Amino acid sequence: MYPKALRRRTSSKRMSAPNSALRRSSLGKSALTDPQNCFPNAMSDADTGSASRATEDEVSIQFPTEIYIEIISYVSSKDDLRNLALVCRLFSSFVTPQLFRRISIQLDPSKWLDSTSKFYRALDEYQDPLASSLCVHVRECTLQSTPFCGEPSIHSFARHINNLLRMPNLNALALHLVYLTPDIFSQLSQLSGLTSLAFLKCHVGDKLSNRDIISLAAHFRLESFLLDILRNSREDGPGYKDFAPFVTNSCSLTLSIDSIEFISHLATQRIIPLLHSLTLNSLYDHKLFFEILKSFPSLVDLQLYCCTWPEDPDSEGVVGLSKSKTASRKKIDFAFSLSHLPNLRRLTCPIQYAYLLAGPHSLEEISFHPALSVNEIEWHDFFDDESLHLAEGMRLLFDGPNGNLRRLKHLHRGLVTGQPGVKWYGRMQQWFPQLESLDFWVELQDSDVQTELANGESPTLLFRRYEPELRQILEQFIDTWGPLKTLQQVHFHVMLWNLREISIERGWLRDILTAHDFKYLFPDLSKFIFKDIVYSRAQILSL
Amino acid sequence: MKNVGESDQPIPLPNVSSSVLKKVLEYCEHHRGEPLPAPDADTSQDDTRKRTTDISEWDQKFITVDQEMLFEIILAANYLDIKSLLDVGCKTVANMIKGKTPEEIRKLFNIVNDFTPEEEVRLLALPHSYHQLILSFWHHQAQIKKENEWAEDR
Repeated sequence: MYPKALRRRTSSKRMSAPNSALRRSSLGKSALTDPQNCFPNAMSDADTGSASRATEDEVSIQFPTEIYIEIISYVSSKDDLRNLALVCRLFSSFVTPQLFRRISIQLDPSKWLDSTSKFYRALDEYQDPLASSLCVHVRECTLQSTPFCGEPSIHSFARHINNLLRMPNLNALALHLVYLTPDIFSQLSQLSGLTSLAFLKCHVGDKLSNRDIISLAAHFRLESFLLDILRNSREDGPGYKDFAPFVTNSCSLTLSIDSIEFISHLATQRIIPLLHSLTLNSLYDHKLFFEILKSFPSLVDLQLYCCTWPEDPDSEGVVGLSKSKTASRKKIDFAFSLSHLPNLRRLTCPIQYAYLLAGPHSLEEISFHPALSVNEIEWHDFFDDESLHLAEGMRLLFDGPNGNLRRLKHLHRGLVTGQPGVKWYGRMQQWFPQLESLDFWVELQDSDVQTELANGESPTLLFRRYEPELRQILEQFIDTWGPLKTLQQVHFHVMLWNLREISIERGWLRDILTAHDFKYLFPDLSKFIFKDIVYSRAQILSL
Repeated sequence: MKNVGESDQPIPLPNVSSSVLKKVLEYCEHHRGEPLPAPDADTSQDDTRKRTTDISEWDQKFITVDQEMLFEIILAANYLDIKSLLDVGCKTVANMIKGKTPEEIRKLFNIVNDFTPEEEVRLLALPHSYHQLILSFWHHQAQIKKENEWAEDR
């Protein structure tokens, strides 16, 4: 690439070229051109693309604007961002939108001084002009109450809604622990620009009726709706499914819910909403849920949390894994085929659901988590390493080639090895022809050595103690998953059961990788991370 | 350099000193053959993204240079369109910002405070006076009393 043009300033070393890695057109444009910036005068500096220099005799290098933006984009701590906003007008213009993007308003007046931002207090109490000018940056707001606080005063609630109406870009509202009353719903109807609405642990108030819900829902065209832990002490009154109008009024939607009944109700509607993303936070009736899912072929993203293992009505126990040690459990007798969801690209579920879900599928990413809700007796069946090796019964992965799969995330350590099936034994590339990224979570459990001893050991000594186990995991991984020529990144997260620090020896890792022809088995690998040791491509090639 | 084809002609790089170019070449040599980083998604839509400031061990050692050299490397990486090197440089500077006061950040970048004193006072404290804070406190004490009376009435 030949630098065609560059500008040089006599007062500073500053470079800009047409091929420069950062272009103003793609970075921070909104911050620079937002006409309602909190400091309109900052525009003159922003347009010239530089912050004012202090003195000529100090360090003379100065960056073009796009580099400042890039540097600031790596800063995430609120304290650091606040300090950056106070540096100069140019920095303020980048950082301010980020600082005021999300606000939280405490409805309980006794919490007001502790938890409500200075910005909101200035806006609410003094009609402060600077606070008013910052309203433009607010996009998300949480209205928060406290347990047992009761119904908020409608007078003060109306005052908050009036303040929110001064925020032209507000598009997401969450109500947390709030008593839902007809008056509150009537106030909320003024925020018709909302595209995201969430009710978290809210109480159904005494007088709230289905009519209030339908009336409020008619004001919105939501893109995202969340209803989690709805509390209703009334025998009558609206339940989960009565909140369905918030979803049926939308075209394409992200839904997060903890009620299968709600989804079941949606599936019976004359016009079924086109769900794009579904998060279910409570799954116990598997057959019903998977049956309902067939009604939502538009799903692209499915996330399942707080999941149980299916119960078997005949054996009065749970349907267990094939290797279960408990006699009353037997092989699962059903699996839900993801072929009913032809658009599904991302799936998040407990690792054990690899047995419950079946191909063929078009998934690009599978993210497993360990949060299967099981009791203590069942625990060992589900989580011991015997049950959690790669197995032919994991139909989600081994029903056939995973043609689209790019990323496998948060794999349990047991999946470093196992037998995927005889068909393509030892040939993982056949099962995962496009796999690019793998990450494993390795938790090292307490061995025979007494816990007290472990508490006193240094990170190096701890490594020595767990070295045979770590070696076995690594060797099994190389042996089972290699060769895999499409793989670009592998990450092993390693942690001790008691969260103590363990220090992996670099030489030890290198010796194992070299001895097992690591670079030949994974020829496209550009990054390998084992706990905190990072191997770049060059370092892998030098093995 | 594939855009300019095979040529014996020297390519002038007037804005990159030889010492900086040497460092840049060292970086490129070490990372030769690695795939280009994926282009960033359109960041203008989501300014809350969290970006990691992790730097690999080799890069960390490579970028441990004095501040002037660090800034020169960043400028050169931007000029020569070496995204991964630019990332390493920017992450390093972002790490340097952590925990610094506004004045220290100004010193780091050699930039002046161009806020008016009035603006600065208001930015530092909203509401901007102790007096107002006291007023605000009593206002809310009164509010709490009112809310409690309301609750008791019910």
